[in-house]
Amino acid sequence: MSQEQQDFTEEVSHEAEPWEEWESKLVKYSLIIGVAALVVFGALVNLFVLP
Amino acid sequence: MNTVNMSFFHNGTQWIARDEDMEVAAPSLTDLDGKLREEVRFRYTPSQGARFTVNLDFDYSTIPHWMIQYHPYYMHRRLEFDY
Amino acid sequence: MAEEKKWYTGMFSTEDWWSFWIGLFFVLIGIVAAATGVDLSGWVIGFEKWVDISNVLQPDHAGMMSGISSLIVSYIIFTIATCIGAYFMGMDMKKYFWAWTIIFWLSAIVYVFSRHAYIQATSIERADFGIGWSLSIGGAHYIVALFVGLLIGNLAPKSFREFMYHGARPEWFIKIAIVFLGCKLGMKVVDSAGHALTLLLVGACATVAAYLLFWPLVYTLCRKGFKLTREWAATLASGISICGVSASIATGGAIRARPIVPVMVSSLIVVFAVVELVILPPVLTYTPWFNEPMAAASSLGLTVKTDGADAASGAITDQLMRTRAQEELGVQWEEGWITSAAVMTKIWIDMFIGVWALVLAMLWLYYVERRPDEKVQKMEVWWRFPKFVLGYFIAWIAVGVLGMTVIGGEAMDWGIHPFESTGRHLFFILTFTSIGLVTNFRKLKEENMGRLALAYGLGLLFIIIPLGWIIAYIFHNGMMPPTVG
Repeated sequence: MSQEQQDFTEEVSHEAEPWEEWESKLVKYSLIIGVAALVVFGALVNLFVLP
Repeated sequence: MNTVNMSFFHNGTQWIARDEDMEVAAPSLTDLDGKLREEVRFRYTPSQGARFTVNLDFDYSTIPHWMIQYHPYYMHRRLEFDY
Repeated sequence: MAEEKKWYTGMFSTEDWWSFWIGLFFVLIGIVAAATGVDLSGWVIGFEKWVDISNVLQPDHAGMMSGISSLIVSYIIFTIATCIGAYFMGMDMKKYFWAWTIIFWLSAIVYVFSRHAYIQATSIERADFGIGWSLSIGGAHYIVALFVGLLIGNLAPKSFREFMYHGARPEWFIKIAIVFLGCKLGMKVVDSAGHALTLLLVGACATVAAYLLFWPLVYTLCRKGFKLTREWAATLASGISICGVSASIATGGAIRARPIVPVMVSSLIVVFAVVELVILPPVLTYTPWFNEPMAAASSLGLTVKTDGADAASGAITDQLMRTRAQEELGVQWEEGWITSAAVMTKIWIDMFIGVWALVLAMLWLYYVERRPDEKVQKMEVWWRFPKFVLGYFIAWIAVGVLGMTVIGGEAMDWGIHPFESTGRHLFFILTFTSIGLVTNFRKLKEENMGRLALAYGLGLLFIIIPLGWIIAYIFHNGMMPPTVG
């Protein structure tokens, strides 16, 4: 592992793969569901649960 | 059932899978899987249509000791080779 | 050689399970004491504020034994319990025993001196101690323990630091403390306070929203802003967004990353977690967040990574806010609620790690890397499930149900208090000392760590903390800790 740790500098600097369509989808759908959850749960909690 | 249980780890440059009988190394997991498929064919000579399951249990002792308390294991892989 | 993994694998060999066993063992002792009236639990050592040092050590059940006897008995019993766990986990017993012993006594010494009334007494308490002034720093013992740990962890000779790693198990200690904390919520159910269930529900809602917003934003920042590879970006995103070291290991495993990736990310996480642990509690206490104590605490669960640092920051915030409330508002908030709010969101986050890891594993194996021979096992969700959480809920339900029925609230409080409160505080301070010991700031100096550190810092500062604050406010606004009496 120590050899690996020495080499990690090079690892982090590796050229990144190009951004692909599936990554856009993953990010987009996560955000859409997350915002929806925030709005729906937020409204329900504030209406029925919180003081 | 045709099952082989092996441990595996990464030595900094290669993934290495091994049990009492065999050891296979490759720079990527895809290559490792290919080599394992061939090694199983060579050692166990599976019949046509047979399925062989290889469980690969990551050797957690190769992870720094202080990290082990945070999570119980790194990864387990299940490979199913159809011949 | 490897054996096929079963659902029960690791039950006697992982720290997570051993926090479950040890935590519930002591909870059981407390319940038996409550049911029978036999004082099996009152020996747990408590550290009181003092001006006369002979008053600092007190067993939880006053008069059961002398303070010093209580300290020694507590040391012996908790040493035996953790040594049994260490033995089954395959630790080097000799090294564990001595490192644990040093941590225990170091923490006890820090606890004693930091509880001096000149340091911790509130303005209202000064007259009781016959003193004219005090610093009124609630939780000073935690802060001092952390700094003592940090001093040793960063300045002591390397051989000694590495020796201390054998006993410095912050995650293990905090998970035992969290099982004890479950009893507290159980007691609150007995008291008919709806707070506990409300906290459970809103914590879950906040966590779902936070997971789905944090991760994609940080992943995008790492990929597009810092041009990191997917392997590094996904692991770092989980580390910053979800639950620190645990999430980075789970994610690294799920996407089949080389182990170097979570190892390097994790060493960064523990350093940042300590920085957050030191900065966020006073920031929350001395800003308008003070008016929303439960929301503020919940935000810690969303923003401070690692269970230990989160619960620790919750404990400091609990002390600081209650001290300020007593001084400025003249109200005495019940101890432990602010800590509970910080822990609750983190517990939900921990529980979701397995699900998130499964989603990523399926995405990576079936869609991104397309390895036809490899199958994702659904059992991953269970294997990655934090077992101490089971202990937390079992303790909660057992204490709540038995306290409301056959045993009764008063008896249950008598039996369980030594662990629910006093023992929990003891394990908290052991956690603080241990966090300091395992946090090595030298890691930040490593070449090119700067790029990861910058990604981490910016993600934390501009995504996690602001969003975490908003989400915590939305789901906890208006909630206040119950007042004493």
